[in-house]
Amino acid sequence: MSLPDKRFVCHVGAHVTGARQVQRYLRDNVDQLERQGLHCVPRALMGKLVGWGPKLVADPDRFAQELGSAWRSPGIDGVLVSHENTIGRPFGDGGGGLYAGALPTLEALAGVSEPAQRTVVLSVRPQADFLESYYLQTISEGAWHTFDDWLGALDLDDISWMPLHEQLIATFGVDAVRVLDFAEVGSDPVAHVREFFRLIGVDLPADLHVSPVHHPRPSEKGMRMVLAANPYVRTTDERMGLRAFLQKNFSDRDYPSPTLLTVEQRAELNDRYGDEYRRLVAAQPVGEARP
Amino acid sequence: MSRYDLVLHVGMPRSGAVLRRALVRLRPQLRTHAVALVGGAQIDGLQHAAGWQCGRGARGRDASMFERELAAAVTEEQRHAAGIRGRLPVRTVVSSNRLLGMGPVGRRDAEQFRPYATMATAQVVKALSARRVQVVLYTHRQDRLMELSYLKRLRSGQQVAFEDEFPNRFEPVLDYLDLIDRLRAVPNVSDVVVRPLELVDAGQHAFVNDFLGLFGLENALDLNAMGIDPLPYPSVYSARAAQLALALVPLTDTPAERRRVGAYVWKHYQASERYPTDLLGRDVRQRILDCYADRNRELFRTHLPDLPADSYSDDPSTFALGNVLSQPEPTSAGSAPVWTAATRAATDAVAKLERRARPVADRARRTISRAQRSR
Repeated sequence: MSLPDKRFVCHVGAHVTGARQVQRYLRDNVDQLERQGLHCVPRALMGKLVGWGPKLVADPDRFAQELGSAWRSPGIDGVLVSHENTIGRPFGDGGGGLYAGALPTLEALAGVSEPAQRTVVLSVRPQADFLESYYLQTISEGAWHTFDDWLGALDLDDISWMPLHEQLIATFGVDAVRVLDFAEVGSDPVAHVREFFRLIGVDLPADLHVSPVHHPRPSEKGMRMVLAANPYVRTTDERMGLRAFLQKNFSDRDYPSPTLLTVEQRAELNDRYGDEYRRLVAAQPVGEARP
Repeated sequence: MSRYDLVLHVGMPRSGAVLRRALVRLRPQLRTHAVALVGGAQIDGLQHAAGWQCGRGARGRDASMFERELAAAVTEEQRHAAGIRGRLPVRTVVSSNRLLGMGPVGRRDAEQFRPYATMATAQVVKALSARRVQVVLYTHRQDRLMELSYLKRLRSGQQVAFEDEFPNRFEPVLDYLDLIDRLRAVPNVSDVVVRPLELVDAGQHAFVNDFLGLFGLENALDLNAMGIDPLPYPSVYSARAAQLALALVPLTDTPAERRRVGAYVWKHYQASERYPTDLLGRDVRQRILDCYADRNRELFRTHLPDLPADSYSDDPSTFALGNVLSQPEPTSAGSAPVWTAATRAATDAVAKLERRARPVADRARRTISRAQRSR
């Protein structure tokens, strides 16, 4: 069955590239987007249907049913999801760049959305920023490895975005894939949301109101504290409590930022990946805006 | 009780707090039984409380003023009790943990267990001109006592290793028999009665009833008037809080930072059902118990013959001391509530609700402030 007049728009992350900002906007503007014919699947539901990928591969029918029921709804001609865990985790075993294990999930996603016209958005940021932010995310989620230990376990020659991008193109077609440059718009929530919707070809109101998702980064001192405390923090609510405490009291708003990558390491990563990153984010095909 | 005109209730940390909170609620009933109760908070609130010779910081020049003020406070309470029962002779109970000296047990107890106990008690006896005094001493098993005292010290913001706080932890320096002998030597103290704090495991009602039984008021009061103890756990850090404080505080640079860390640790990890106070490892605990085994056995044989002599020998205790108390007779409609289970369940339920409500409240606050800004 082909549904050429129906759309499926999927924002697949990646992690630490501002996916939460897009998700916040979708959550806060469900009604307005419905009026524009776009049904948003809540992130929590995506967690149940897709999880970190294997759930969708094992049981694609549940997600297919969700899509089908949305498409059949009167006035709805598109389904919009934003879920960064869809493509799994960025660092896996073996080669293949970032998110090397994403292919089975992407194929399952392509399978369930096949009848519709599809757009897939991948948010990216330069490797150096990505590494630093992802490390901070791991410790805010409870790990207590030092940055050097964590970095030492990675193959820095194998953290290109290109293989993932190529997989997306191979799975969904070159016209369906968009890349959002977080480095360009990430600091401005309004510009970020506008850019996302520009890429998928959906008009937004001129007086756009966006609630910023502001997670202060830990300071150097905050980072040392979280590393010291994490061995004793076990449950989710304890971790949330620690995170909130450190964000409130020891963030980089009031204290010096942590120094993670050295200047040399940054320069090396830039030499290694700078050109391909610029090629990746340049000359994006832009979706046709719909009324 | 009639043999004594003054009962001094003294105890190791926590025993005093549990009983005092209960007794304060029972004060009106105690008055009807001609018992005048003066609690630690009343004494601490005296203008010249610093004159009580119960610690290194006591002011000698305020001693006589303190004694006069204490005597006046006790007389006032005695008048209330006497007023209710006409001219009956009034029995007085003074309850304060400072009778054993100020501050938690620690390094200063290495040479002598509670070195200010004699001086502090003698001063109160003298101030009240008591002739026949009974001291009711609540003991706490030494490993737990050290543990709670250490957790209390960490809570106060001090950073010290357990080994440094108790360098003599494997020597029987916290010797109750010696302490009892010294209290007995205080002029006009006729008797020292010993009760183990661990009886509190039987529940608040049974524990309080046991204390009241020491002066003939067993099953005589309506214990439901106490209500549910709002603080069923010792007011100290949990073991987890201690680990976090020891990890975080060294990373702070200013007193303000230390305060913030302390507030966070206290708010999230104070001792509770969820966060116990078991800080010591099994081996260390047993080693401590082993070194006190002989003295504790002697303590139970001499002063607590109704309880098994090995009550303080093993962990977990061979004898659950809480089981030796019978629940008091219900004295009002309904059965006597079981304090331990009910209180802990209620406290945990409230804490759980608070935890759940916090993010909702935060979100609401953010929404309101956003709305105000946009307006």
